[in-house]
Amino acid sequence: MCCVKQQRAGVTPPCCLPLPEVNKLGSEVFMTAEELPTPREDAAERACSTTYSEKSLYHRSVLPPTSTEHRKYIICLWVNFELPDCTIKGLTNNQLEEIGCQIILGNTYHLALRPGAELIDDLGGLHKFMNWKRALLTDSGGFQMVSLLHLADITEQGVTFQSPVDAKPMLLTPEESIQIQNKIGADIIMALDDVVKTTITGPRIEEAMYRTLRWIDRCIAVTIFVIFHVISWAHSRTAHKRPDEQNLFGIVQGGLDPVLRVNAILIKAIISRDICVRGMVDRNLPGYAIGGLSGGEDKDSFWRVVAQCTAALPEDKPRYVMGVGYPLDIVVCSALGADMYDCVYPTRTARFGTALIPEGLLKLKNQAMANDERPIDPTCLCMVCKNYTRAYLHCIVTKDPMGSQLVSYHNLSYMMRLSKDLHTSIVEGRFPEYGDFIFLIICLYRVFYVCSSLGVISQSGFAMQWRLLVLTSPPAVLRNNRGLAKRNMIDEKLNKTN
Amino acid sequence: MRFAVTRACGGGGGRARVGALYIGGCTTAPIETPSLLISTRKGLPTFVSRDHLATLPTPDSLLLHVSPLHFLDCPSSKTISNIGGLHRMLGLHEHFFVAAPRDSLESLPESEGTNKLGASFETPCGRRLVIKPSAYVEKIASLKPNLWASMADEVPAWVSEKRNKTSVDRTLRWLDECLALDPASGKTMLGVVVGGSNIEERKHCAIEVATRNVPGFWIGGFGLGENVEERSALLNAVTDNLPEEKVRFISGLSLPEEVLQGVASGIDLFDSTYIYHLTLGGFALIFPFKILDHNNLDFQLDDTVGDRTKINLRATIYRKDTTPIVANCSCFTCQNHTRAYINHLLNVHEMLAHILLEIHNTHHYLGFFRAMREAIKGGKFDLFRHRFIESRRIHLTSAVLCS
Repeated sequence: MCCVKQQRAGVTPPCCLPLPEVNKLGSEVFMTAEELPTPREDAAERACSTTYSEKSLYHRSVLPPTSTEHRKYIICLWVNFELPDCTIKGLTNNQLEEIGCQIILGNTYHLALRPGAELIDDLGGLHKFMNWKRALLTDSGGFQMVSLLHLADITEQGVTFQSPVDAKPMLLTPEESIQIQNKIGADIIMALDDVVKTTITGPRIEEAMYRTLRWIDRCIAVTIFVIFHVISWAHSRTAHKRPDEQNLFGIVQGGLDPVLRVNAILIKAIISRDICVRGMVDRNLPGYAIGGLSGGEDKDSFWRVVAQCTAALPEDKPRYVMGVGYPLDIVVCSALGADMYDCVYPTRTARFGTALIPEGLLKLKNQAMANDERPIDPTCLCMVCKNYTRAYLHCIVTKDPMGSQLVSYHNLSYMMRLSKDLHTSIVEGRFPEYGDFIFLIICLYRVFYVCSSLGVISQSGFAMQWRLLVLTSPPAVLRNNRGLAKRNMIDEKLNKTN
Repeated sequence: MRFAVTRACGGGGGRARVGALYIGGCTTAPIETPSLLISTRKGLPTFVSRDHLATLPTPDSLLLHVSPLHFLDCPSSKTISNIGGLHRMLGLHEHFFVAAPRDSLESLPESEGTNKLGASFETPCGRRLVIKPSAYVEKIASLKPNLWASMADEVPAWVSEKRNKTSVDRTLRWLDECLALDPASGKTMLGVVVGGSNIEERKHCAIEVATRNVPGFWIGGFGLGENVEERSALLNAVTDNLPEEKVRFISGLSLPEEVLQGVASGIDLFDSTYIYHLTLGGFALIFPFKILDHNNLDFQLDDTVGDRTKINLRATIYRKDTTPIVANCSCFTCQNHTRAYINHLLNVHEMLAHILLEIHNTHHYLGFFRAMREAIKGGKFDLFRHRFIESRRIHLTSAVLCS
């Protein structure tokens, strides 16, 4: 299988042995510039990834309580989302490689609908179909139970979706989801989970949690069998046919504490998460995802759930928080020990004319941008910031296709830079300690939400909340040496606006 | 900017010619004509960003057409001058911009609204407005394009003789006004020739404009409803009266057949909306360039969804087609993606489909111009033109017979 995959990536296999040093997803994704493999080598290494090594060195900010060694941890990784239709909207593959994207996410449900798993399989898998030489991740389609709830009917057997294209019913069972993902051939595949809207309460959450656990067993039950007994007839009966090529991640579900004051619900929610986390950990999967978040819950519950899950998940496996994408959330989750994130936010917000900058958001449609001759972010080194001014982007965003292309390019570069900065600050030990951070998180989120509820947006188009973040946070978002200069710049701007 | 005709009398009754456009300070290699001005929207191609623009063959792809009317709303002239003109604003320092008000897509001349004060246009922001020569020259001064066309009163073919005559008079008057207002006194200005479908007016206008001290000419008023059979005579009436050694641009001729017609009359540069329309419709150009090498016109009807010059990638037969659009094509799209992938992207309405198609179509159309130049150099332009048109015609006939 290993060889097959290497040929698919267009690389002659030097050997078929797994390379334990490079097969960890996270370190592959976020190496420093000099370590960063070229795309081709990367493909070869990726192809050899089979198991997770004991020696894995995760860079996380959170030291697990049991750890006696003084290691610094965190991997921070930005998984680009928005691949329902085999493309990051508006960007070509070589632009993504230029930006430094190492892994992108596709969605099983959308891919199964169009162009169809059979077709992708016939044409040699998604990597080949879209000519993407780096890593791919496919979501199981569970999220569509929330986003397309009006088209979905959830039972113990699986989910029946009504196709928005031709209105035919399509049954997505856990086995089906895995089989489709096998055909698509991504490097990381997700187990089907029962996703519920985060804002609902009651027994449905508990049901979803237990169902997720039952479904993961259906996804992996036969997989383990294959690993230990490679018997050809068993292949035909397995749900997950390519365990040696694809890494199956389990998803932790369960509610959150929607109303902190109601103790009974809080305890129940925490317990249900806990059961799910334990259940997942027992199943010893290559990686774990924290699901059911970022659906409109309040941030106090959000970070508590992430903290609770990361504390219980094994230290040597990647932890992936699904659907998280605001820059602040990524900083917070990384501090809590999560490794991977995905979101449509950077590209979607770009199409609506908002650029991400270290100070926060830059609303390019704002009249203040019409005559601004500066680049989006003077400190950014991306193609867009080197060449275009805010004034020019002001007149093309939301009107011309080129506007969305350019701002998407910038926003993704920004996200990649943010993750890289987080990574280096953790490696170099500049990330604040865990204990301090919990306090900080509460402060940050409070400030953030007070400001956003007041709708504080200054004349120049900056959203205030991020400025406050820069002023209050330790320079996790910024590189240390630039912090002072930035602070001066911001003070100046504040003075001007006053 | 310097222009020289390197090979004339290649065909088309001795009018077709190959020239070299030396674009001062930008690059050492001259751009050979006949060539294509890549049409843009606010200075950048609709879908192709600057990094992909660089992958297109140079120096041919350095020529861009820009419409100053796209910048009427924003940014303001002052901001554009502060940024340092078009080249800096768009991050295309090496490129050669030719500015003309009409872009044949969104900024269309609106002859009914035009009065003695200024020309009227439909603008991208959806309103008609009258633009005066002074405002136009001010915008040009801030944009600093490499060449720019003076203002014209372009009228469609169906207007009365009287209106047509007025348009010629106005265009000539505005040409003089622009010359007087231009700080560089017309060093980078193209004189506009109009005259509708009247051969006499065309001649008169061309003779008048030729007396002005301008480095080149912009032929307007085509592609506005004139008869295709009459067009050659009109074009010849214009080009015969323009000095040989100066460069000639035309607006409104965009289909390959129309371009061939223009080249036969001695036009050097074309602004083309063909690529844009193809791209939006999901079409990819596939016609072969080396039609002169084949001695027989043995064209077989091999597929049912194309006309041998282009294919419709939305068609279901490309669903599992893992070949590139054109085998051996060196463009980014053909090097990296298959017909099946583009077919899928079109089905799900993804912008990437248009990006990839515009890259390929621009690349291919530039190749068509290159092949045309080779044909003129080899003295076989007439044969090239004949073969190209015949191959399409044969296909259409056989398609009709088959159906």
